[in-house]
Amino acid sequence: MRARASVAAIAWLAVVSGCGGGATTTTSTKPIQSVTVDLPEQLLGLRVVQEDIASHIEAVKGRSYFESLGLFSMREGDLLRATFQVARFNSLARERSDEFRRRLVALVGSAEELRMETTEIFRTVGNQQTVYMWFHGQGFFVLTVHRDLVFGRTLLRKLIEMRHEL
Amino acid sequence: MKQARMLVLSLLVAVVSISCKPPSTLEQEVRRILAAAEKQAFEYLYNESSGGRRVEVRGTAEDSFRHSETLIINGNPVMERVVSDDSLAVRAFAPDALPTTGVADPSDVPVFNALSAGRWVLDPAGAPSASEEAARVEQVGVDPLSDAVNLYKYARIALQSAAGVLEFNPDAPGYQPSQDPFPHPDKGEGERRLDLIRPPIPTQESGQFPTTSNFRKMAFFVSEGTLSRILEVIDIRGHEDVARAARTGRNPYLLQLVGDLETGRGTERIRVRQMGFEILARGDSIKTAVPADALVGNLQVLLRTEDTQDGD
Repeated sequence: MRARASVAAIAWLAVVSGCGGGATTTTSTKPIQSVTVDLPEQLLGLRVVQEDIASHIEAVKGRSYFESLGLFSMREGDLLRATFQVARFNSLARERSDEFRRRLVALVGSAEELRMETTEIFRTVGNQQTVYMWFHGQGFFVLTVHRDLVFGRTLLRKLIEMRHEL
Repeated sequence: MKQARMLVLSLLVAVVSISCKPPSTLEQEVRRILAAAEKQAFEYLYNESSGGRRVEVRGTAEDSFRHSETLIINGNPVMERVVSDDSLAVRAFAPDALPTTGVADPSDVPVFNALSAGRWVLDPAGAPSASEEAARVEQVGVDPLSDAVNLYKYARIALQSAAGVLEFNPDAPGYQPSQDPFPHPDKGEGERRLDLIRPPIPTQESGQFPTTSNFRKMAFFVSEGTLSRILEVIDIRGHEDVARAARTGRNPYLLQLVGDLETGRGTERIRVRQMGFEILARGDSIKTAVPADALVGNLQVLLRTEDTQDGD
């Protein structure tokens, strides 16, 4: 259920057009694949599981800036403490453009720009969770941390240090 | 599920800020300079004089999540703090100044005893939450450490609320040295000074209260395209219009307004102060070191006066 909500959100992000500020909107006809990322089974004591999002990916077929998507849940026991969403941009995206990045991030919320090491981080804070977003290569990464996880920033740093290449 | 609802809500709500006026070239330049300054680790000195108290913060910022500060009040070191991701380490130089809110008998608390003895205390989950940090940007003067750490955010807010940016030019028509509280840039060193322009104080007809921006003078000093220091003066009585009204008695409305502001009325509390922020060094070699010999404990009981842990 929780995973479904998360992937619905990222799928919605993926389909929104006009992030690049271009005059025309083009969409990809290629199907979105499930992303492959090397993550350990445990991170800071959290159990990491890649969720099955195939049906959600199918729903946004042909309307996305992403060519592959992945969602990982991070649980302490049965409790969901964080989710990690990974997406690889397709050729329609302009992921190196600051304007594109900011407009994509703005779709999630009013974000504060921060820095962790040399990585630019966008952070939005809600009542129950904090969302961190960053770009690396052709990848877009979203870490959502529930307020009850007290090691959220440590988790963020570990994920950034992994420097996932998509 | 509540978690799921919150998650999807936060991800689906898109907030797009709309700028009311296009930024000038100089405004854009200040934004670029601030953004560039934040991209490097740096050491700095922050100082503030307000209400007869002088606060200094000597700090380092490795990145947004790792930084350290030493707090000095009226020349006396008070405390040191290290924030490293989720952890917070604190050492007190002035145990008498330790807050004790919520603790009936602080001497029963090992953390308090360690701090009183001048030891470092490390709380692995004690770093200020994101929401706490955000709230403090708007509350200048409450926590000088946060004021120092959030200086760039504060400067951006000041820039946003200013009427514009002007390059310092002592030969410009209208320049009045007596109204300039800041030093001239060192042209021999290629230094430039970019000043915020104050918006005029709202008139009686507008029905609006003035805000801090109406009384703020702020200057950005730039050397070779890089920020070197930021100076600020916020002065209500010293504002030329207010001083003239007091001298001539011709604008009783403004004098009444000033009286209201000084008693806390208005849309925001205006903190009269002088502030300076100077970059001392920058570069990747600047790191934040977590003290190795710290007592591990919960600092929340001493350092937080309310439960505001909503958000990581």
